[in-house]
Amino acid sequence: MGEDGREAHSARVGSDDRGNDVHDDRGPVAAGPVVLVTKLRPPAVREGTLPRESLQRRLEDAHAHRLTLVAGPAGFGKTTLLATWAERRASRRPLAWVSLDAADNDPAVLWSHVIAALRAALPQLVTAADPGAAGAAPLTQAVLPRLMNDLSESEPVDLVFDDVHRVTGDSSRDSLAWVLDHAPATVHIVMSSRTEPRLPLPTLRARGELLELRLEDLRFDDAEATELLNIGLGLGLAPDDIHALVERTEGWPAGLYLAGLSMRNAPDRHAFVSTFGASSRHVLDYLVDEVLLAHDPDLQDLMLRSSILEQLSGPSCDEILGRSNSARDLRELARTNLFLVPLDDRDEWYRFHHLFGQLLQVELQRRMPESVPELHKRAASWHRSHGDVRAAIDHALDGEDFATAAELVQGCWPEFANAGHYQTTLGWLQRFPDPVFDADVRLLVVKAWVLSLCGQRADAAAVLNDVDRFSPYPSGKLPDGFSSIESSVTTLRALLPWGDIGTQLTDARRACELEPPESKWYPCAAWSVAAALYYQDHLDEADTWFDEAFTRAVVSAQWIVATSSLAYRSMIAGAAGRRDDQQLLAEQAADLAAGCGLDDVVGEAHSAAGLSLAARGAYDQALPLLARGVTVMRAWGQPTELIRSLADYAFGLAASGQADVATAALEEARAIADACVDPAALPQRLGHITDHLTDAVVGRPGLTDRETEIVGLLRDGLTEREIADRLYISFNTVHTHVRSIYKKLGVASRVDALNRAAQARQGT
Amino acid sequence: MNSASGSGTYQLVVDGELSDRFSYLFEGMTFARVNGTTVITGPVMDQAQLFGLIDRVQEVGLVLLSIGQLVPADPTPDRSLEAGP
Repeated sequence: MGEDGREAHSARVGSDDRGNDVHDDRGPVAAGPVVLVTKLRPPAVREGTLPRESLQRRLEDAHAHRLTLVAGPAGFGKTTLLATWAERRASRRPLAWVSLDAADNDPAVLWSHVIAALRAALPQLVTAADPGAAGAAPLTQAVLPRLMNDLSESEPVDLVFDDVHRVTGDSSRDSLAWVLDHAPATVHIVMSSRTEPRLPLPTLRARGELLELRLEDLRFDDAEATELLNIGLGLGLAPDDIHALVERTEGWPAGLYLAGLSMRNAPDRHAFVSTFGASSRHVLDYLVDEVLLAHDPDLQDLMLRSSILEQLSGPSCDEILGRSNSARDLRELARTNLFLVPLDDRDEWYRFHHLFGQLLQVELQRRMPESVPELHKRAASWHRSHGDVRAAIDHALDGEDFATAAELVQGCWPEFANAGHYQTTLGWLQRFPDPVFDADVRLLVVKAWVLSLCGQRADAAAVLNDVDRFSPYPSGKLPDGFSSIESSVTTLRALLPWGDIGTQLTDARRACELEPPESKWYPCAAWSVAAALYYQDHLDEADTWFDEAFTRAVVSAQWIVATSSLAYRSMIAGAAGRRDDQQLLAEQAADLAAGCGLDDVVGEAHSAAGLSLAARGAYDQALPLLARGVTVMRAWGQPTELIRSLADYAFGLAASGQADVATAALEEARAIADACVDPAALPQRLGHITDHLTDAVVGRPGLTDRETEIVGLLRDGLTEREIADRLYISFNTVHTHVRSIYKKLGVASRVDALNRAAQARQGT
Repeated sequence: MNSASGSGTYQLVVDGELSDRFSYLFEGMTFARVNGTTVITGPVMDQAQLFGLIDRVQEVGLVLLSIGQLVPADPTPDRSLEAGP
């Protein structure tokens, strides 16, 4: 466990290189996103918590419903209710818990946590689903379907989403709706929320698939209030007083508890209840003073000033607030006040119940407003040196220390982008005031990068126009490792050319001049040169550059570039007829992609693997891979790469006899090429495949899958008997197939058959 | 601009009387306590800000009784009023 109390499992993309840290006396800038283990545990159910038996009994029915929803305003004990439920049935059935927060508006963050929770709940779960490096689209097209599939084969599990109202972003909400719709019967979904989530609730209700607990169910009655105040807090109140409190608060658990806390040290509790009851002030307004006064001044100060922190620990409070013994004080406070929630079972980390934290912040602002920006600055600094760059940025923005926030964002955006956490970065950029943001060319460049990587071409172009106005750019190395703004912009344009290969080559060569070979961004520049040359059909030169890009990429942990380079080299080898190299390189690319969690990012790895298999006649295995290559490239949106993936797919389809689908793919590719400014040699390649397709269609009626497989084995030199052994079929069956193959190909000998089949396969 | 512009002066009414200290949560708005409710009034520059206010109400567990636009934003000042006494 790190000193900050969080186990950091970094997202599996290997991009946490240290090569370009910004060193200052506060320590190195932290690496990128982590899975916060504290979000994956229900809060511990503490003494003084009511089990609420009647509600627990209703929750027993959760398994009979597709969705269980606990919906009610803040302070009605939704989380506590579910945490109690979770604790009670955890031993009977696996339960995965995710406490949602604002960070989960980035679907990559949300699903990283959900998958981690599911893995913890189901140790036998085998899933390669990894949102780690997925772009915006592939989540519902690739990662989530895979996850649902894997879950359908595992034990039943309850999946709890706490505080669903925190997820307001469209993509995260959509992904939740998708999962609710597609979850297998083994998964039961439970949600708590302050607002009705955007899900088809009326439909679920009508079908009896929704179990709901709402405001009227969640209110405390006299009996429950008695348990809370007299047994939990030991107040010894008379039934009339209990009733008065329930009336006054309308059964609002948070209100009742606040009242209880306020009364603990009151000399005359009955008088307190009377006065409280007679006041027309809002419960919160009345009690915020009272509840603070019920604590020592020293503890009051601790609570007020620490209210700006999402999470509190002894050491962090000591340092940020400039006090001592915070650990002891927090422990004591948590013991007597349920509004301070422990986050682990080691008395190390806590957070305030959200409502209580809000009240404290209101009070802090009233009493010590001038202290707030300074507190945020100190919090930002502490988080920065303890490895939580996300919290550091949030605090810097809250404290309006835009200079620090800008520096941190500029330094860490590549790690977040590499993990697919685009929304997180865009969210930060939005929090800078317009005048500050528009005047900071470095922030504009970051925005251009992130928008481009998410495929938002038009928006990215608009930002690059804004960047252009700063030309000639100030020189100087950037926090993210680029040697200059010019270098960053040039590399961005070279990497993502949006259909203009000629310009890509110019930009790429320039990028290579601007970035020294040892720079972690050089591989991107080198890759861009290679890609442009490839698309211009200068395959030998491209191969040399891809090799260079790969070598440099491995050193700089630029795994996307590394994987892509291997894949392209494989395809180049295939075009030159070097089958062994083609296969070896394709396998290396696939291994690297799998190892780095890049399966849904580097589409060319799938295309390369597919082409390699197609070359051996294994069309059954090849086609799904080639199709996947297309899906991934669609998400990226780069026209030339999409055209290439469609061409590769069409080639495989043509070779396996599926002329219609091949034609459709080629048509789509051609349409995209027509809209490109400079698609280089791609139109020719498409023409080539089309020609062969026509030949193939005219020349031979399609071979069946089995026949195609056998042609491949014939080419590998197997005898008919060996083929029979390999395929576990009889020799006679093989012989029959071979005769059918000869007939369809219009030949009489094995040699002629192989020649004819080879001609049809040569699409590149 | 017309009243559909979504900006101007808005008024929210919540249940219970809140003192002015809570105006920290509703920056730029004034509070008036009326008959067991609190009337929160102030300028709203756009719908994003408005929904932010509604969200804030929910965050603190307040009961929202009503919300409405009092005065739509008017970008063209009435020049006739600038004339002499």
